[in-house]
Amino acid sequence: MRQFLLINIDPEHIPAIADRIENLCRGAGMNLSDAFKLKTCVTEAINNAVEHAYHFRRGTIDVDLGIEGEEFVVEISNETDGTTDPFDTRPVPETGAERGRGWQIISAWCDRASVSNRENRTIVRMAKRICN
Amino acid sequence: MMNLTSETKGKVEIVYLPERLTMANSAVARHDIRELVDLGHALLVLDMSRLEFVDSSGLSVLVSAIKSARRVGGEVVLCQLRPQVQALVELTRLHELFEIFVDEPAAVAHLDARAAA
Repeated sequence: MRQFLLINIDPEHIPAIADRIENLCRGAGMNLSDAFKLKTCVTEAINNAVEHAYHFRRGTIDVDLGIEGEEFVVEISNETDGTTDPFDTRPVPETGAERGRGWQIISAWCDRASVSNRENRTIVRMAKRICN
Repeated sequence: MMNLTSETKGKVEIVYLPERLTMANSAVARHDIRELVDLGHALLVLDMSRLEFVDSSGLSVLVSAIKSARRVGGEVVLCQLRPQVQALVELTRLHELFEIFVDEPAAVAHLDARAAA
């Protein structure tokens, strides 16, 4: 199974995309709890692109997902022109901070997660083992 | 209060969070709660019984709410968290910031006692 989505950014649409990915995870045999966690991580990665890469302006995000071995892998990528903010992967913010929890959630709830830049794109790659 | 629903019980305001609290509606929710606090409702119970999905934008609304309330001597507590939402709250250590109650009466009683003190 391999799927590729090209989405126009609109915060209103993110939940539907996340729901779709959760359903695909469930269809691949992932348990309910893990599918929910990966859905949350995907939401965080898309949110980050919407806010920090595109600053809520128009743009597109690629969602590339599929099964690799025993893992469900999702890559979220956005264009970057060198002026966009990088994904904030700094350590966990203080408890009372209002921002900065996206990477905390992704790194905790994915089995593997990374952020890279290539060919003018920022790519967040997230993998979670399929356990039923 | 245009978007979130709320109910007054004595000195306590119960705010019912929607099914989803995400980037799409977090700005409106933040505004609504701040407006409540500005109107003098600084003892807030955030009833999360309907909340099925929250992201970090939604969590920031909770933090914003408690900061706004505490700034004027108030407090915000949470109640009726679903297991998956509770897991996210604990992962992000917000359970260290908020008192969390199993049900609404317990949350209201806690804030009532605070108001009476």
